[in-house]
Amino acid sequence: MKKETAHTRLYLSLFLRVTPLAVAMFLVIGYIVVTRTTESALVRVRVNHTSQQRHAELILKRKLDTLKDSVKLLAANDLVINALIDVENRSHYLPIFFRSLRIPGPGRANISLVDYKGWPIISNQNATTSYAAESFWEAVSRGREYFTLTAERLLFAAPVVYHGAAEGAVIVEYPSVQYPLIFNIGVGTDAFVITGKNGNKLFSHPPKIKLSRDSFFWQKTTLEGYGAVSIETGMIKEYALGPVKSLENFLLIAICLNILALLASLSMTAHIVTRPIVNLTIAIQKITNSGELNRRVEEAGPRELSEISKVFNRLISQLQKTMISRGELQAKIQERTREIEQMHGQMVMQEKMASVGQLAAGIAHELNNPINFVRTNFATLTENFTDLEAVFKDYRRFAEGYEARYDSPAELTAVRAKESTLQIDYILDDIPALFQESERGFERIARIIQSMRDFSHVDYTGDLSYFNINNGIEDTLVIARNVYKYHSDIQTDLGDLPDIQCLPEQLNQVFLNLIVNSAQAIEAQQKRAKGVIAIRTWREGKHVCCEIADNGPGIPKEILSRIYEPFFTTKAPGKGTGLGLSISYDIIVRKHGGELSVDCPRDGGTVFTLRIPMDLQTAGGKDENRA
Amino acid sequence: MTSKHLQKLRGFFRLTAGLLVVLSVLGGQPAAAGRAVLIGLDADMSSGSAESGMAIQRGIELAIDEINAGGGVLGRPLSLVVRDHHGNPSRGIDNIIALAGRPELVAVVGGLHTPVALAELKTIHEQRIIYLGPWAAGTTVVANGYAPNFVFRVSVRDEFAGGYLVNQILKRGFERPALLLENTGWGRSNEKAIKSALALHGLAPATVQWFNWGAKQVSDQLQVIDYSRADVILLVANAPEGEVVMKDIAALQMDKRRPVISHWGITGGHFFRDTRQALEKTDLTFLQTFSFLATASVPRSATVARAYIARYDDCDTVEQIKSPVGTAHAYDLVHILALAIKAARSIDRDRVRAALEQVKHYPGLVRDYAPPFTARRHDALTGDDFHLARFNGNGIIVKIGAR
Repeated sequence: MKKETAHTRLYLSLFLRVTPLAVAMFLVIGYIVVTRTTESALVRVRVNHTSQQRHAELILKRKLDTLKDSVKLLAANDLVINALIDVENRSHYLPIFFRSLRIPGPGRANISLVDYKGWPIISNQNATTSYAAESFWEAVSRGREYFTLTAERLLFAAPVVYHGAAEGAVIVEYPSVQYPLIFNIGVGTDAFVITGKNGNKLFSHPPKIKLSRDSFFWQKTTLEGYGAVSIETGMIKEYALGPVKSLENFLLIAICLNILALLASLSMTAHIVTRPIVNLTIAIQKITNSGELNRRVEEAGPRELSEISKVFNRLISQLQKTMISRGELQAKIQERTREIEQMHGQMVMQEKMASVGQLAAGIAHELNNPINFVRTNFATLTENFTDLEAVFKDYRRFAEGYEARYDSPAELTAVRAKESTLQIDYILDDIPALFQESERGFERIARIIQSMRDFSHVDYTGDLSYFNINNGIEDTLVIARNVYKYHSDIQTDLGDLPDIQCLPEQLNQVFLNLIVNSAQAIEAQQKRAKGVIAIRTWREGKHVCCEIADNGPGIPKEILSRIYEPFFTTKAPGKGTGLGLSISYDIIVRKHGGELSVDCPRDGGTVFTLRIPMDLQTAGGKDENRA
Repeated sequence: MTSKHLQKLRGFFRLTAGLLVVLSVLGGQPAAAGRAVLIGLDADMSSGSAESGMAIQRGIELAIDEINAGGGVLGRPLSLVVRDHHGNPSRGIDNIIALAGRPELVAVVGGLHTPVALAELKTIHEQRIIYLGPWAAGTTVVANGYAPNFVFRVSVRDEFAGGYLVNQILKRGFERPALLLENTGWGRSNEKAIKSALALHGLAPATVQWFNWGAKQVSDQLQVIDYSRADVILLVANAPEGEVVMKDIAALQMDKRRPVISHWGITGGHFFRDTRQALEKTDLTFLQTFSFLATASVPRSATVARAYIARYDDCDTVEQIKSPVGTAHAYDLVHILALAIKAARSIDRDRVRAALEQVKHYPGLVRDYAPPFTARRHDALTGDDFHLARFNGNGIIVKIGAR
């Protein structure tokens, strides 16, 4: 797991899991809020509109009521009543009074005083109007008030009542041209329509409603006390629902901001949580992959995560402990396995050696008699030849003297020629050398047989005895000669060593192994020049040391640690058992309590160094084989 | 049933009876009697001075009853056509026109209201219809400048009333009268008369205050009157406004309540009924011309009173005869008219009008008319026919000084 991608992936997975849910949540909340708000806004708008409608209604009603009240007040005015009676003199005061009359509020009303038949008496305008022919007059003359609002005029007639009878009337009339003035009431509505009988439009504000009727909320009520008059107020939907729209926008922005905030918090979470998680995961992976149980994860991040880290670390510690004890166990098992294997190898080897030793011992024994017989015969033969030579030489001197004094006989001459042809002189000269050499050969055969007998020591396998390892080395060199003689020169520097208590045959085997290894390593180089195997022994305190160095290719570092493993071999199959060094190690370290170390110097070659305590018991070495 | 209900019921019967008379006349029966000669009544029959209209109507009816009982005029019965003008001149004029349009109608008896009468003058003379005034006192109702003058009156003439009232206040020791007048031709008529009368004594009104018809209060005027240090109030008002005046005076502190000497307009409506409590706190005397009570011993008066009580269910005693002046004046006028028709032998209005000026004598309720009218004098009464009166505790008009 790569750290960056892991982080991104975790972040993405968090994002992909959380964001749709959050967005859905926001949308649902937004939807609910918007619908709820729209609903409540609509309710509010309706309530507001109703209150506006009521307000407009009240204003209009108050306006009309005021008009009515003013007119009624005027009709009840005693000067007006008096004027109906005081026909002859009313012209002195009525015009002044009427000219000053105005109905409160904007617009200019035509205020008339008419007599009981509706005929004009006076008006606040220059022109007077007769209402006698009006259909409503009948009702007014019977003392009823009359209100009408049509497309043409707004009219209110209040009878002037004296003692229960209408003696005249005050009539106030606004022509429709005045409507914008009198009805243009600032009610704060977007549209305002007054309708009369049959719902025909009398007045609207604005005069021409530009928007379609559908663009408005409408409310219509009949004006209380003015039966035929209805008032309708319109509220532009767009304005009314403006706050909702802006709320929707706000919500949209809020949702976007929330999502941004969410992303930010996700980032932070990723930073705070996922990063430590990723780090933890990576650390765990590393530990898992490498098996390096001594590694620890960082105990950082939020408390919970650091807890996890701590717990993990504890777990790893526990595991490490377990692993260590397991390692020990394994090591022991390995050791045991190796021991068993070694033992097995040893047994095989011992068996082999025993066979070889018996064979060698048999051969040596069998050879020993003929060799001794031949050797004894040869010694006799040598003495016999000396005798023969002295005789032959006497014969020659005789011959020579005969010849010098006698003409040589032809037979002599033929012998002489034969002697010359056969290089009898050279033979005579060479035979002592041949004898000598043969003597040495016999010696050597004797020694080989002795060595074979020594080496096989079949009878002494596993028994401790005092032994000088220099002898062991020399014996081994003899035995192994055939292996190294073509490729390597042996340089020995054998120090003065005491005999040590040891298993000589086994040490010999070690030397043989190491020398054979070196020789084979040198041989494997296939160099023209011969290699060198330098063997050095010395005493070092209570140890005897032996160093066997070669200038071969050395041991690759990679396998350096494995060379003592049983059956580990770099040789071609069948060429080596892979037990040599393992057995050697076993013999030196375990059986003799010594040390076996290997070193590969930079300039090549391999140096094995053995360090064997002189006294096996004092060295504390294990001596299981001691019988 | 309350007395109010009874009155209403009686009023209803009265109207029904009147209508029956009218209908019988219009219906052309009794056949032998021929078509009725109509007398119109143009008065307030329903408004603030409705009592005056009723009184006048009753006077006419009583007279007609007598005349018809005596064979009618020119062999034809007299009949009454009533039109209500509410005290409203416009209605009055229309009434005159309407009445004038009826050929059998010989004369119109007017009502209490001077302003109506004054407004009608033009129409009266255009229509050449005899107008008999049993109440409206405005001087210029009669002294109207029309020739021939179609207006005849058996009633108070303000000109005379002014002099009479001034004399009465002076007699009672008042020197600074305040004038409180209705803002109409009647009020102005009295202003002129009283001022003239006072001037004769070298006096002038302490203040002249006006109120409108329909006024709901006159406290401002009373305040000015108080400031003017007037010692008496001369009131010219009809019943509705008179009521307001008396209530406002009664509402003043006692020392500010001036005695009130009033023209008679207040007796034309339900004045007493509505001011009973106020009257207990005030000193109100007013002009009258006739009293059935005061003339109970006079056989003619007693006869009429008996006829009255007999004919009208709402009245059981002489005291209960309301607005007696209206009844008496109307009664006298109809009799005088009958005499004139008889003299003229025609119901032609011009001829009857002329004949009215020629009636030599008629012994009426209010006085002996000898003659009632002349070509120059269309007012039948003088200041000598006036007296002051007051309401007794029961609202009965009692002549002051009468036994």
